[in-house]
Amino acid sequence: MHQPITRREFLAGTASVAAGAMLLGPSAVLSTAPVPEVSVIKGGDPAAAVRRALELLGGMSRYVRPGNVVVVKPNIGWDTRIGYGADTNPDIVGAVIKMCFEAGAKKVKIFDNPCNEARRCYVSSGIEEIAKSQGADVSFVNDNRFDLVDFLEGVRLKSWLVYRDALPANRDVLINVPVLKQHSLPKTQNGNPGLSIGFKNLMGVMGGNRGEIHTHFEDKIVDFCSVIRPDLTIVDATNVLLRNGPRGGRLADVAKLDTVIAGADPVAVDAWGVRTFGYPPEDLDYLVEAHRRGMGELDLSKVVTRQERLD
Amino acid sequence: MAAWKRWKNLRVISQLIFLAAFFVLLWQARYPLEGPFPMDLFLRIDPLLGILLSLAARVLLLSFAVSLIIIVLSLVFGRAFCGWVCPMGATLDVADRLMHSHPKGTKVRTRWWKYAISAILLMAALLSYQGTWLLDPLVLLDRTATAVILPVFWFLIRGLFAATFNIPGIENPVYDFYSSIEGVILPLAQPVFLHSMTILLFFGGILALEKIFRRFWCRSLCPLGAFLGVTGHRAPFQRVVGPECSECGLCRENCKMGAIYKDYTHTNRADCILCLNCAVICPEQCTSYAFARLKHSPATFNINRRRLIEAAVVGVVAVPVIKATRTVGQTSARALRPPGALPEDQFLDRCIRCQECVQVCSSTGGCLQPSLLETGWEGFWSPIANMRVGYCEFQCNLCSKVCPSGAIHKITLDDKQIRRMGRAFFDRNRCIPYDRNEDCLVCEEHCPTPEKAILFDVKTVQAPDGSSRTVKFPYVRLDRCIGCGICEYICPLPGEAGVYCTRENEERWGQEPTEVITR
Repeated sequence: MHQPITRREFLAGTASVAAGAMLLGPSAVLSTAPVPEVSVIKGGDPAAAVRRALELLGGMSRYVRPGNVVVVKPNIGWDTRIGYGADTNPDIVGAVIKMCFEAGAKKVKIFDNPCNEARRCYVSSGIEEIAKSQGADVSFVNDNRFDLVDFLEGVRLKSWLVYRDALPANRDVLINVPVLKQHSLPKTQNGNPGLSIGFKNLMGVMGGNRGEIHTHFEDKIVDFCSVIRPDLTIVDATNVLLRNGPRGGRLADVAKLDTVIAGADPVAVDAWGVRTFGYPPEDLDYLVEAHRRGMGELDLSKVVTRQERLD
Repeated sequence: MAAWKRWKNLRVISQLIFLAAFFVLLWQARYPLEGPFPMDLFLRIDPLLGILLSLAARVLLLSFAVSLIIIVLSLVFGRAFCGWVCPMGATLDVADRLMHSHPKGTKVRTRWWKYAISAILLMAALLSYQGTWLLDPLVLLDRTATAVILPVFWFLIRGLFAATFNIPGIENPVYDFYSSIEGVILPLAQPVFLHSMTILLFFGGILALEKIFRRFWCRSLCPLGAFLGVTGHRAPFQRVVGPECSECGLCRENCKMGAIYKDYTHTNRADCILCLNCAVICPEQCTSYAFARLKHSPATFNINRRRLIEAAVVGVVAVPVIKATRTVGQTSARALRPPGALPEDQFLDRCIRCQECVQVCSSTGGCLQPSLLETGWEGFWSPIANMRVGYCEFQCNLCSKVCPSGAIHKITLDDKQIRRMGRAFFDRNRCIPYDRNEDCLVCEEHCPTPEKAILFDVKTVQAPDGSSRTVKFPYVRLDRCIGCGICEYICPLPGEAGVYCTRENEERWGQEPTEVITR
């Protein structure tokens, strides 16, 4: 089903990056060009891959300034074991936290509003342990700390409860660290399976009766992310759940794609996630809607993609 | 006497330690269940439970073997357990202090009740109805603590914190502190029990009786007290009064249990709980406790043969009266038992409604609740799953690990994950895709079986504006559904869910499972 990046594509991508870098010098990497940039790393251990992905984007210091309060939002939605593809790989979360502190972050906050009992998810996913060892503030979402946010431009979502710590007023940077996996809800074209990537992962900072987001999901999730927009999205596509998502539970349903995708443009990053899964991004309806509303680039030929394969 | 004062202080300390230990052990019954002590210890040291459950279930329940210690202790020290150890007794002493109850120790005409109650329970158990759950003091306190005391306590603490979350300035430091203890000391979610008020009223009634006289419960009602009174009424360690007694009567006036006879010298050893109040208050300092050989009073149990036989008859009649209220087909199909529960008859023989399973469940999925009449009068306060309050967590088998009586068999996690508690049904009148031709599929998203038990059909249907659209219509695949209820729990509809679980297809422990084939 999924079409891995061919060697030709890989070499072409790498060559174009190298050529671009030679022509333009370091300014190409450091400039905040309007052209969206995405880095895609295959192979290597997940922590090294995410580090390399950020290096290719110009380093974490491009997104995190000294003294910043950073919210890192992994997927800790399910009480399943590491490697089953339901929660974000803990090594990736740990590496992201480490890079935030290296860039001078004052505080890194980790939380999710899980679907299973929260404490079980925090423990089973391995994220609580690694995040605490890296010095992040790991907390459980508290019902009393949701604020009602108005979505003035919202098509279907007019207001919703958002976790206080995730609101722009209470943090400087929001880093979304989703896991790529099959999810039956998002509408697709041509019979392709729906996917949970970056946009869907942001449901973890929502409060209230989140099931209601599922009706007319494509409109509502785009409404939501137009206000709660991550500054950086890092997709864990190392162990990808192909079926029975988003919870899974069988290793037979997990494909080892060993890929990490990173970038600031939430649409372009999710589009790369779809391509990594193996079908055209235009087939995932919410991405088309997000692109239509100007939230990011869906056409990957218009995205500067830096690909590398690690050993 | 100063020495007895010290011993009395020691008794109070002992009571407080055991009361604290009781709550600590109960509080240990939570995810991830890593406490160093068995959280059901206070239930398993109860010989009355061990004997009556074994009788009713026709099985020797060896998990209660540790209660032999209490029997042996009573043979030597009488009802010292009631005065020094029992957390229910300590609770009553605290209540007495707050309510200023007076001992009124002289005539207690209700003393025989507890033996009558015990006789009723014994006869019922012989005829295979286990009613010990209603009145056993340790069970009573366990149940009340789980369903009322702890939830109220957590509500207060969490509420106090929550009140500060909106105060600028202190909000963040308080929240940081709160986060650090949440999930460690504080439970993550407020436990919710729909019928806890009935448990509170029952317990409140027992406390209110203390206004009649002190330790009314222990003197008149407690079946465990009666049991220990019988085993301990000839205990050699007992109250001894010296010849210096001036018959001032202070000891009799201040006896918590009203256990001192008119001559102030003799003691009803079936009721004396060795609280030592008499020794402390004695102005002549001639009252002490020691190993002694004294003639015991003939009226120890205050119950005559006629009353005892009447009580036994009540016990015999009670069985069909209660059993006739339950017909399996008519009890609520929505009352799911925990995974690993024995077949219903055996389950009710053993379940003491201690709510240990409910307590541990409240720290994870949170579906278990003390029932009311969903499973008939016979199943009153027994644990059932309410999938709108919580769900049965796929990775959890903790309820089976804490059950002191084996009403829920200890099952492995692998077993639990394929053991059917029941099955899910779609209510197509309420389910969102069927009701309004809109996608929803939250149930399918949450369905935890490795291969989804909720599948969906994609159909092109008409939208309200006349256009056509594709919508996913969920349905259940019967051979995969284990009835865990997360679909019902998470259904976004208010009130009744669009998908709900019933006992159909359930697979109790030890029952030959019916094979389900779906094509």
